This record gives sequence, C-alpha cells and structure tokens, in this order.
Amino acid sequence: MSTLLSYLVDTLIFINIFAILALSLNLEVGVTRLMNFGKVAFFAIGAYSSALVTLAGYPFWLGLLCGIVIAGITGFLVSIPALRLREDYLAIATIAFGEIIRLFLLNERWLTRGPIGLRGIPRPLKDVPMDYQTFYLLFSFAFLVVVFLFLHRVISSPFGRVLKAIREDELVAQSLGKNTFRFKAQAFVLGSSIASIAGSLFAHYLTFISPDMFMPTVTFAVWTMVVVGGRGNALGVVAGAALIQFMERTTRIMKDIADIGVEPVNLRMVLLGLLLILFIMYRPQGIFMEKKYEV
Amino acid sequence: MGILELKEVTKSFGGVVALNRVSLEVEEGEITALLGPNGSGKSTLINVVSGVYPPDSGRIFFSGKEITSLSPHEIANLGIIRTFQVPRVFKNLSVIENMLVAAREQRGESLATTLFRWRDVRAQEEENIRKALEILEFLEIEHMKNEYAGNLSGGQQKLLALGRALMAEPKLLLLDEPVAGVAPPLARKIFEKILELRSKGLSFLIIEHNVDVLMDFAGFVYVLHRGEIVAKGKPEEILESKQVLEVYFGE
Repeated sequence: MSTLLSYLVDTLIFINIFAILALSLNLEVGVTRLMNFGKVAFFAIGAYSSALVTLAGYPFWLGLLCGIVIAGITGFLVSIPALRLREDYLAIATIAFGEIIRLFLLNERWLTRGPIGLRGIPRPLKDVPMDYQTFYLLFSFAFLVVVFLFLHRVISSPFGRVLKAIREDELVAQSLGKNTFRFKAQAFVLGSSIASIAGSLFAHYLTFISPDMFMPTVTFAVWTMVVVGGRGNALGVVAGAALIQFMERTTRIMKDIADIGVEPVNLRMVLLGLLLILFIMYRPQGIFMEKKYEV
Repeated sequence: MGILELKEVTKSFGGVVALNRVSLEVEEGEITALLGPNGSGKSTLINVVSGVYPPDSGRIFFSGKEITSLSPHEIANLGIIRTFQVPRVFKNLSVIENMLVAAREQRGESLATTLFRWRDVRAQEEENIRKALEILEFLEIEHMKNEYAGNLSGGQQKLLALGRALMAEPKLLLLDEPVAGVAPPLARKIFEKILELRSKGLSFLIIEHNVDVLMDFAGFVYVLHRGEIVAKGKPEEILESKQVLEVYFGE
C-alpha cells in the first residue's frame, strides 16, 4: 500500500477509536453535564485490561469484555463519592483519578511492566484474508456504528431525557421525582464502559501500550472534540473527533514533509488550545447544535 | 386531618431562625395560602416540606404518613410537587420535552427496558405525549409545544412550570408565587385554572403576595412573620386582623 493511503487508513482508524471515546464523553458532559476530566483513566483501563487478558492467551472478545466490566465497576466506585460533589469539584476529583490510574500503571510493574509498557499485544482475527490495516479500519468502524446507535437509543429515550433535565437543572429534576444520583451514576458507568471499548481497540491496533500514552492531554483532546463538534449532538461529536484526529495525525507526519521551524507535536498542543478557546468564546454550542425534540 | 400537616417545624441557618416551631395544616381539596413579607420564611417552608432542607426539629406528615427528612424525589413520588419562585424551566429543551420529563413511572427511564423493550417505551411515550398536549391545551400554550422553553415569555414560563408540575400527577401542589411578575389579566387566568384543578380534587399550598387574588381564591390563610405563624383564618378574617396589618404596615 502506498504511504499516503496507509496514512489515510491509519488516520481513519484513529478517528473511529477516538470518536467512540468522544461519544462516551458526550454522554457525560454534553448530555448530563457531568464534568468528567478523568476520561483517559477509563480509556487506559480498557487498553490494559484487554492487553493483559489477551497476552495471557485468552481471546480478544474476553479482553474486551473484561475491560468493559472493570471500567464499569471502577466508574461506579468513583461515582459514589464523586457525583455528590459540585461540578467544579467533580472536575478536580476526576482529573486526580485519571492521574492515579496512570501512576498505578507506571508503578505496579508486576502487573503492567511499568514504563516499559506491554508489547506484542495480539491482534484480533489476524488471519483475515485481506490487508490487516484495511480490515482494522472496518473492524473499528463497526464498533463505532454499534456504539453510535446504542447511544442514540439511550439518549433519545426517556432515560436520556432525564439526563438532559439534570444538565438543565438538577434540583427541578429531583422535584419531579427523579432520583438524579441513580441517573448520573448510570450515565457515568455507561460512559466509562464505552471508553474502555475505545481503549481495547487502541491497544490491539498499536499492539504496544505504555503509561505515557495516557497522559491528561488525552482527556483534553477528547474534550476539545466534544466542544468543537457540539455538545449533545452525536454526529457533531464524531465530526469533532475526525477534525482533531486529522490534525493530530497530520502534525505527527508533518516533520517528514516540511520543516516549519517548530516541533509539530508541540504545535499540535498549541492548535488544540487555540481551537478550544476560540470555540468557547465565539461558538460555545459547537459546530452542530443539539437536536431539538419536537412532536 | 389535613392532607399535609406540619408539627412544630423549626429550621435555622447558622444563627438565623428561618422557621420557628411552625405548625400548619392543608385541607384536602382546598387552596391554602401562605402570606408574609419578604424574608418571613415562606420559601424555606416550601423547601423543607419538599425535602430540599431537612428540618432541625418537628415533623411533617402527608396523608398521615411521616415524610420528615425524605429526599426530594421520594417526596415528589408520593404526590407532593412543588414549583419555584423563578419558573426554572429546562431552557434548552422544547416545551413538550419539559412536559414529558415530568411524567411518572416511565418504563423508558430504565436502561434495560429502553434497550430491550423499545416498543413498550414507545407505547407509553405516545400516551404521555397525548397527556402533555392536553395539559398544554388546558393552559393555552399548546401552540408553543415545539419552542425552546427558554424562548417563552415570563408568563408562559410560569404556565409551563405549572403544566410540568401537573404532568407529574400531584395530589398536593406547592406553588411558590405562581403569578409573580405575571401581567394581571394572565395572573387571574392562572388562578382560574388553579380553581378548576381544585374542583378536580387537587390540594394547594400557595405562597402569594397579591391580597386581591387571595381573597377571591384561597380557602384558608396562614400569615408568616419572622419564621412564625402570627395569624391564621379565613381570608376575610385575616384582612381584618390586627397582626396582619402590623406585619405589613408596621405598628
């Protein structure tokens, strides 16, 4: 395959993976207004669970499932104290949790091999009779479609409507008889489990993961996808993921194409921050607005 | 025995006693009004009854069942629905969506049902939409059903907040100044709607400043001053009571 085509396929795979991650954050932030700044933790939990299970000789599906369950349980445990906090404190608590998970992965060498990371993570269905990268593109896209449809159902249901009501005014939702803590906890668990799916796909695509791939900047990149795409609009969030990932992949290969006098990877962080600031100032609703429900 | 009973309810914030041994009763099928100047503890009383603040002491009963210190959603599910002084509509949701949130016992609020029994969810949803449109029609804001609630006028938002409360099938409505900031003709209309609802068996506890409106619509009035009940009685008795004149116009 030509280099350019390979670059495109690679970019599209990353878009699929990060779109799943961004959709999970959208459920929490865009729909429910749970200020989760620890998204990367659940992405990491999915990646490491899936990698460890498959490295131990079990199939991909089991690894994926373990990630979903472990991330879900962790999400539930975190939500018990965290969801009782006001939104700004929730942001601080979750950012700390993200770092706790990364430091755990870095230091518990008996399990994670620490900074060396995990190598040789098996690829799912590696004997498919086609180019593996192309296959993985379709494979990850299938996951994106399933997650998209699943979340669409959830958000457009009466369950999702309560989440939106909590976003708008939690006390009013309570006064109408909604046990808002239960709804928020469910949204958080669901968001965590879906982030874990993205983590599994990430680990099995790269076949190598290490703790420095799960820095807080991942969370901020995913936040930017949601803010730029449009909080509450799933298609917008996918578009946001595409835009940010395209930017990220392009700055990565830019060094090989042109000398622009600055380190492209640093430039990427500058662009990300700039984009976030510009959108929050001039178009806070993002590219696409949440769809209005009508009868 | 009233549908709602407060017995010696006390609530203070730091050193400020917002409610001092307040006892009152709301008769079933009646409109009971709570009168009092700003800062007299009226909103605190609604917040305590609806579970936002637990009382420091005293007990609250609803239909004979103790509800002291239950959480807001538990109290709402028993049939006590409150509104707020500021309408607090869900601004970024459409009017119809505001209404639908409030519907009771929605099967689609369970994730499992939503995922595996969508047809049940849809059926109940259609029923709830029909009911919501009926209430909007009753309140004469049906034409706004697809508008963002934030785009409604102040008066319309008050009506929507009332409609949303009705959608939750209350037995007792706690209304915190339902016509504050509403133009007088519309205010009167809102109270006529409230009378109509009362005739269907609903009970009301209403905070209201507008004495004219109270005289026409309330069955019983409590006057709150500095956290204490200083007078109670029929509206006409209250208007003539010396304490009330003192509370409002000084001694």
